Amino acid sequence: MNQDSKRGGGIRLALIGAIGASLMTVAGVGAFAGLNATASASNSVDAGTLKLTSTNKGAGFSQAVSNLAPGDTVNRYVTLTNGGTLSAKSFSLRITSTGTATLITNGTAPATNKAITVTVNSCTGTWTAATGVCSGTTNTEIAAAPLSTFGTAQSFANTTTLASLADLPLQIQIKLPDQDETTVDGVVPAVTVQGGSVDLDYLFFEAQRTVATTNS
Amino acid sequence: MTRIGLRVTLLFLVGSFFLAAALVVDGYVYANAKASAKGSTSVSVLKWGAVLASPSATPAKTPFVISWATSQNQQIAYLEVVNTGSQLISGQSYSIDTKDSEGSRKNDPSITFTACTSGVWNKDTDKCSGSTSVIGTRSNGTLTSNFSLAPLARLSLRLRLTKENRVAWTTTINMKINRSQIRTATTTNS
Repeated sequence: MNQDSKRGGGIRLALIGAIGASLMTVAGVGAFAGLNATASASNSVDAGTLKLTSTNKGAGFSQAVSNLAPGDTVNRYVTLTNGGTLSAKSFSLRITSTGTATLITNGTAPATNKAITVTVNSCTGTWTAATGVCSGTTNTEIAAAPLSTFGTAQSFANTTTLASLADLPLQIQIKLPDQDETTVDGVVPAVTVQGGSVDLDYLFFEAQRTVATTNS
Repeated sequence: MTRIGLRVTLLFLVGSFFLAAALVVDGYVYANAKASAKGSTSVSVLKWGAVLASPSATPAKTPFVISWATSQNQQIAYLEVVNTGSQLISGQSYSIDTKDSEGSRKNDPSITFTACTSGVWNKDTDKCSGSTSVIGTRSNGTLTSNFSLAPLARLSLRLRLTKENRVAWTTTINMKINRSQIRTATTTNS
């Protein structure tokens, strides 16, 4: 086979590939249009948007939680806002924890360390960050669980939907469960929570509302 | 199938794959959209503990050992409790073990622990520049005291040993601080 023949074969291949892709594009567009809406000459169709933001109320996530003693509870406040045009559902929270293992995962015998727990509460009114008072009704969205549990997103139990532009005031409760440790001659136990630290990255999720079919 | 036929099929499949992927992504946005919001913070835990050290000496994380002389019936040792933690402690536990050179506790001596608060013991005059407070008398077992001590602060102690024999006694003291000897738990909102 000479050079011209090879070049001709390459061009043919490119053409066949392009034709294949074009056929799929036509088919895909057709399917896409069919799945959504068909706009007529006098109507317009806009896709809704979904946007979730988190705003600190008081210290919120802006300040480190330091010098916790066993039994201490620190409450921080943030407001989630559904900033899109669609109402939202299926709220959840995932926390990625990095740092001292004993603060992330409960010990298994003979270790007795109890990891930091997080609880998420919502308020139907507003939270006063300085006092922890909710002006409405307080609902438990996620019951207290060790940080390790939050490696998988935990679903909110009470708030099922949130309208477009609505707020969801949350209390994030961080607790180091009470536990006894004895330090001997300045040496902490081999398995200890003392002097430990952990970085927490919170990720809140929401999904768009259930799809609807309307007739009008 | 010829080589050209294989290449044609491969090219067609590749083009189709990228197109299908684009449609799936597009469909996901419209059919099952999700949104997320982030935040982050750090959490740290305090540390508590104390050691016994000779007056003004650099604290070491080891038991405090006193080797009493054999020749005297009454002897005195001075030492200090040093808070090595990051938190004020409100109590101290002294685990005391006194033995002779053969490991026996027979006819062991008595040791009286006396603290000098708001001052220090002067070893030359055996006087406390503050107020004295007897913690207890024991040569074996545990004694506890309830003095508030800030991080790095020191509490001056005097140990008076009384014995009726000429045995070479050695006393080893471990300084123990447990959870109940630091502040109580709190709830804060901010």
